[in-house]
Amino acid sequence: GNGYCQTDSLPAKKGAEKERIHISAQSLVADDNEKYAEFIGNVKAVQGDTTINSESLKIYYEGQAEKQIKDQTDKSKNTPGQGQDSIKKIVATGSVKIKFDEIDAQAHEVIYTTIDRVLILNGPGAKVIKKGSGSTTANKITIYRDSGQIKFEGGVEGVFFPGQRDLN
Amino acid sequence: MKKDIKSKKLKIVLISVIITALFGVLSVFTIYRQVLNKTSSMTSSISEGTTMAMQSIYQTAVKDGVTEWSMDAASANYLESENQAVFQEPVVTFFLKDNTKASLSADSGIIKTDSRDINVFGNVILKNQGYLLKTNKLQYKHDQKVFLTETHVEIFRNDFDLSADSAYFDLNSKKIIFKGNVKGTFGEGISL
Repeated sequence: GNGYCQTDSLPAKKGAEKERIHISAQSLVADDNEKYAEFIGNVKAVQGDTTINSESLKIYYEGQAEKQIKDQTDKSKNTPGQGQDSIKKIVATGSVKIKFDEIDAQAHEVIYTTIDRVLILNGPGAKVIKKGSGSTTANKITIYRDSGQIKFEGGVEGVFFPGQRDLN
Repeated sequence: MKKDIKSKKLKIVLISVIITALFGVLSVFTIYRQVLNKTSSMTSSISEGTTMAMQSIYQTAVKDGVTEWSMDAASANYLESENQAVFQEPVVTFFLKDNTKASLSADSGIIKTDSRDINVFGNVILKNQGYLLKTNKLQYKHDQKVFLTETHVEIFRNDFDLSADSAYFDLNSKKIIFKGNVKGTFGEGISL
């Protein structure tokens, strides 16, 4: 079955965008034609309180040309052409562990799209552990960072710690 | 009596011829020494086995009428026996297929005159489209249009910087591979 859960403290702090992302790995392959950079081997990416550990971390970015075209067509957005690439999507694979806000997430693959700030954890056995309240496992977990909503799909199992007043 | 005068005249002529000849030899010798000194001061800066040495030179590599790279250098020693030229303070400009340029500068460099490969050493800086690469040694393989270095390398761009133990940069496919202790920091405008 599927399930939803809404957490109050999830929406990521807006200020996080101001901090730089620090990444370390054994190697990196960057392809400016295909517009991606893939960190490989013991990858660790940190931005403020958010940490990603994985075997590989692939960052897809938008080249300056595409970005300027998009900025012009999207009149409402008055982002000055900073002339720098912007990250569109991040795909982490291989024993992925993510810590952010109050959540520890684990999965084989995690896809994060920056436009909507949605995190998709693909299993099987994708897991979200919320400190002090429990953990839920599913084949697919979608975390909407802006609204704080989490959707669990396929093979959903939850383990929750009883509050002050327990069941019996 | 007449005989004496004649022989005296002959003696004078002979002596003057000898003096002139001596003077001629002396001046040739002096000029020769000057020339020799000049070339020896020039050659003192040339290492052993050099065929030719030149100051402030400009060299290009052209293929099918297209300039692939051009180089300015403070000085150059051409070593014909080893098919190479050693340059001081080379600045190489690469003219790439997509009409962009890459520029490479270093303390010194060696060009293989047969393969047109380039090796540069010391304060190596490679600039290409907003990327700045810094290292201590860099090889350029002309036929593959590839840069590679096995020494610590740093790369900077306005929105990120990166360092690693080695790097391999393919000018045509625009693919770059870093290996060993890769560390990078990325721009502020994104949030994980």
